[in-house]
Amino acid sequence: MAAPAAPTRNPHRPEAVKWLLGGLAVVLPLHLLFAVVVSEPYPAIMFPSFGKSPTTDSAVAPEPRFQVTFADGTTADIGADELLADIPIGRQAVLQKLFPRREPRELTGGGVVISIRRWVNRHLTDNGVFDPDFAGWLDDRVTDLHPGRDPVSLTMTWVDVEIEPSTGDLVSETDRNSYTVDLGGDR
Amino acid sequence: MTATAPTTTGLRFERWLYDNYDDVTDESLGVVRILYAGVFLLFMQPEFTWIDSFTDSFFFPPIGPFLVLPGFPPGTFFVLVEVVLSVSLVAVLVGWRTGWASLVATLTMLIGFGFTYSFGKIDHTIFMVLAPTLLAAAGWGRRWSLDERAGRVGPGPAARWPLVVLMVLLGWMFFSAGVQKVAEGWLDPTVQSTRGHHFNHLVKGDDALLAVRMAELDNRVLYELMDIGTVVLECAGLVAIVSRRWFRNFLAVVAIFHLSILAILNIPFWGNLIPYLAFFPVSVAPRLSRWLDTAAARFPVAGGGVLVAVAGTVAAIVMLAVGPPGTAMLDAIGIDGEILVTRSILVIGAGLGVWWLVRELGSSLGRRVSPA
Repeated sequence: MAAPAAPTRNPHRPEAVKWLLGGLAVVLPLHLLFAVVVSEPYPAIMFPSFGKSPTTDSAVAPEPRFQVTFADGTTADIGADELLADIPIGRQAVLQKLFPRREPRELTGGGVVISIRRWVNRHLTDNGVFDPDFAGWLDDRVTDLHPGRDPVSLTMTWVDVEIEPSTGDLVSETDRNSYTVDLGGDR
Repeated sequence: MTATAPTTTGLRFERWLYDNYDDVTDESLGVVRILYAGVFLLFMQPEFTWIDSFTDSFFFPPIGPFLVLPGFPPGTFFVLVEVVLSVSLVAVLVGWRTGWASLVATLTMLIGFGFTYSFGKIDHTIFMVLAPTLLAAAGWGRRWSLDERAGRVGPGPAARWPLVVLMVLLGWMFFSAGVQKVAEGWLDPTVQSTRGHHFNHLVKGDDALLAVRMAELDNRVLYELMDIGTVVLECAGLVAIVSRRWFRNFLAVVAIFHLSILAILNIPFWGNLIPYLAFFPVSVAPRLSRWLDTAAARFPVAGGGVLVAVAGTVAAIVMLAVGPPGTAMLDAIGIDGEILVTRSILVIGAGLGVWWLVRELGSSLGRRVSPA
C-alpha cells in the first residue's frame, strides 16, 4: 500500500498568516493600552483620539504670541505660523514642547497609572526653551524675518483667547505665562 | 491514522482569511496602485528636507525607535530619503519590482514621518504608509506593470489574504480611536466633545466651509449625537471586519465621515481614501483598460530599472526644487494646490461612499422583494 501523499502547501494560503493575526491580536491591544496609560508610541497602529473636549461652554483656546525687542528699543510682533512656517504639522503642539504652558493638562488616573504618567512627564517631556541652541535658532529666524535689525530678546506669551463662536468676535484675552529668551544682540 | 477534519468554524475562518476578497481583481488593484503613486508623485508626496533647518532643540521623539537617537540626522539624510521615496514611487507607478518598491516607499515614509513627528506631534498617517507594502503583497503590481510585461507575476490570481490583514489593521485603527474617545469622556452627556473641538478650531481660525454655520446653530443635542455617532462609527471598525460586505459599507460611511470632519473642523484626513479603494471591486471600463494596456505596452521590457532610475531621479530633482509638481503648478496660477487636491479627494471619496451605500440599499431591497 502506497504511503499517503504529503499535503501540498498552497502558496496562496500560508499558515503563517494565522500566526501573524494571532500576534496582532496580542500586540495591538497591548500597544493601545500603552498609549492610553503612558504615551502614544511611534510607529503605532492607531488613529487619533483627539482627546477630551478642550473647552466646555465658551470658545476659548490658547494662542502663542511672540514679540521681539530690537537693540534700538523698538518691538515687533511675530506670528507662530510665521516663526515656524517650515513645520507642516501642528505648530501649537510643537510650541507646547518648547514653551510649555503652565497649568499643563492635569494628569489623571490613580495608582500605578498616575505614577507612570508623572515619570513620563518628568523624564520624557523635557522642554527646549532654555537650550542655548534654541536661542541661536530663534536669533537666526528672527533676523531672517527682520533683516538688518538687531534682535536682543524674544518674549513668548500664551494667551487664552475667547471668541463668540457664531460671529468670531473677540470676547476676551487672558495672558497666561510667558518666557523671555535672550537673543544676545550685537550681530 | 486519519487527518482531523476541519470544523465548520475553522472552514469559515479559512474562507474569511483566504477567500474574503476574491472578487477584487488584479485590474482593480492595479488602478489603486496607479492612483496612489500618481497622486503622491504629482500632488501630495511628503517632504522631509525642511527638517534640516531646525536644531536638535526641536527633537522631542515619541516613545519608539527614534527615542534612542541623539537628534536629527544631517540634511543630506533627508535629501536621500526624499530621493529614495521619489524613485520608489515611480517604480510603484510603472510597476517595476513592485513588491520591493512598495516596501521601500513604506519604509522611507515611516522614517521621514518618524522625524517629522519628533517635533512633538504625531499625525496619524500610518495606514497610508503601510498600505503600499500590504497592497503589493495582495498583487497591486500584477496588471499594467513592467513586472507583468517582464513575466515576473506568477500564474493565476494572487493571494488576497494581505487585504484581510490590511482590513484588520484598519478596523483596529478606527476601533482604537473610538475606545480612546470613550476613555476621554466622549459619551458623557454633560460634555459635548465635538462642540469643544469645533470651538477650539474656530478660535484658531479654522472657519472655512460649514464651521461657522455649525457654530451659529450651536445645537447641543446635535453635538451630543455627533459625539455618540463618532464613537459608535469608530468602534464599529472592529465589528465590520467580520465580513467584506460590512467592511465595505463601513468604509463608505467613513468616507462621508471624513468629508464631514473637513466641513466642520477643517481637518483634511485625505490620505487613506485611495487605499480604501483597494477593498472594493473596482470595475475598470474596457476603454480605460485598453488605454492602460497600450500605455503599459510602450514601456520597454528590458531596461525597466534604467527607466525607473532616470524617471525617479527627474521626479526627485523636481520634488527637491519645487515640491510635488502638480501642487506647485496650481500654486503658481494662484490656486492653493494642497487645499484643492485634498478637498477634491475627500469630496470624490464621499461621493463614491454615497453611491456605494445607495447601490447596497438598492440591492438589499431588490433581494427582499424578489421571489425566493
